[in-house]
Amino acid sequence: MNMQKISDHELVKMYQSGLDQALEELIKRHKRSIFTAIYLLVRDRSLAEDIFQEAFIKIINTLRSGNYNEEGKFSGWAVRVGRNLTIDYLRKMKRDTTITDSEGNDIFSYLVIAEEGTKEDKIIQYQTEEKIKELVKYLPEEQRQVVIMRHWGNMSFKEIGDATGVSVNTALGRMRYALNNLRKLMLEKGVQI
Amino acid sequence: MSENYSENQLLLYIYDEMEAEEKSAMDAELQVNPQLQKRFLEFKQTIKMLDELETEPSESSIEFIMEHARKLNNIELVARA
Repeated sequence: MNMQKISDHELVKMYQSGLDQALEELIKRHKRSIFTAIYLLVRDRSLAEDIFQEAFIKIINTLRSGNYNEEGKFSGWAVRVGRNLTIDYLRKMKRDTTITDSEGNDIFSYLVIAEEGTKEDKIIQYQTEEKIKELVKYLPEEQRQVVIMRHWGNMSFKEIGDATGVSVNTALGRMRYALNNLRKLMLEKGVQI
Repeated sequence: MSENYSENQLLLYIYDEMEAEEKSAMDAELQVNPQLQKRFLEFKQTIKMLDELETEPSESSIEFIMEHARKLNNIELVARA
């Protein structure tokens, strides 16, 4: 069966009727956004893998139990499941999620950018992607949440406002500050944009 | 239009959350407002960088999840039998 043209809504119904292929397609479609959202919060790939698995087990159990109430999009809901599990985990660990990395270092201490034409750039220049990941992690929590929900959760600003208990304009304002901050940090740290 | 208002509106435009009528008005405004054009391009550039951040889980994580789903199916089949 060609699953690619089937909507998420239909895939959910098909999985609830017992078709594992439908679940496989849902994972294939949304694994990147869900995993990225988790990874950007925990900053640790191995931990992100564990939380991602846990999130999908919760998703599966909710779908199978018939408790899934699709008020919005599956992708937004699935990202929120991952995000909530991540936040629970971080709360338990009482980790500072704003300023430092998983080792407790200031993230900029290792954002070393070699000057062009030197030997060092072969050795110490990180990939641009890695640098921006670190920049996203440096954002204040409320701004990072909006970026993750809008960009990887595919939630509208209205949905984000509803989910976080703020107005649409506040959600938009947070996104605006996040983008402005990211741009400023990129320019300050010499990340090419 | 205040600066904040137009930037919030610009984000709605970029993320395709505007009504058709508002979108047309923004299209027209972008043609004649260099400051808005500049902010549009800056937002687009930063958002493009975010697009490049996506990463994916390992195959073993996917296999673990599917294995869990298969086990649940087996348990259900046994329960029905």
